[in-house]
Amino acid sequence: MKQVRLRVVNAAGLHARPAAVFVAETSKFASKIRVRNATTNSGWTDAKSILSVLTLGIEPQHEIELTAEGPDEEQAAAALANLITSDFAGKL
Amino acid sequence: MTPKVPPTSAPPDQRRLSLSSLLPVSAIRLEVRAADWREAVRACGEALVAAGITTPAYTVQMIATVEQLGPYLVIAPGIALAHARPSAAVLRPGLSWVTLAQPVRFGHKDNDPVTLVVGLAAPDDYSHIQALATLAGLLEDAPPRAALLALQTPADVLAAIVAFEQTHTTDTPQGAG
Repeated sequence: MKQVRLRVVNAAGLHARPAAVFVAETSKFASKIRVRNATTNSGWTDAKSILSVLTLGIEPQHEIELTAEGPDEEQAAAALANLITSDFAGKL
Repeated sequence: MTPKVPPTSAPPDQRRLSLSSLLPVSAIRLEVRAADWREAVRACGEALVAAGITTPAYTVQMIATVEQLGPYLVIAPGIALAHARPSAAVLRPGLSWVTLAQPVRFGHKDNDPVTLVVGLAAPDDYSHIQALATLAGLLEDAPPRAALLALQTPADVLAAIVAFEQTHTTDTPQGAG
């Protein structure tokens, strides 16, 4: 299992469109991917569901934790870390 | 090395606007007739205008957003979250809630057809994040979602949202009275 902790740097947090972009990325991978808001100490939720991601209320500068478990967990963790730390890589 | 300056944070009161405080009863419309997704989004925009949340220009912007970005706004089975970027057409932050007499298709591969369109208008990207989190929590599980969609009056919908907030909010200060 791969686990990463990331700070959300985009100016808006994960509102509707960033959440959709995030879920589009997680959904590319076969691994089971879960996410939690470490700043609010939320529970873990399904990182492939927009609604679940939105329930986390992720604001700018919040830290999130991600776990990926499965055949492509390394690639999934790397791709998601890149997305978040690059301010969504121009996909917004 | 110059330290990286973090983006200015919103004041806490701006971030904590509750879902019920952003959704006036006048912006809730049930069993609206819409022939297609455009009419559904238009109804959603008209509810925002009627409640004094947006100008009609925002309705046009929401439709343009679907045309440009595709059906990603269908965020869960049967539920669309219509919105556009913050603009001058947003008079104040707010939401509208429109259920459809007949479901319409947005072209989403998994979540069509849509029976609930929630309109979201925000003057910025962050003030509504907690309201959105409440909305997502409210709609996340299928049985409570079905119960909510079966309610017959706007006042009942708002009362159900208020009841949900009272049981699920973790960090709301205890108000007097």
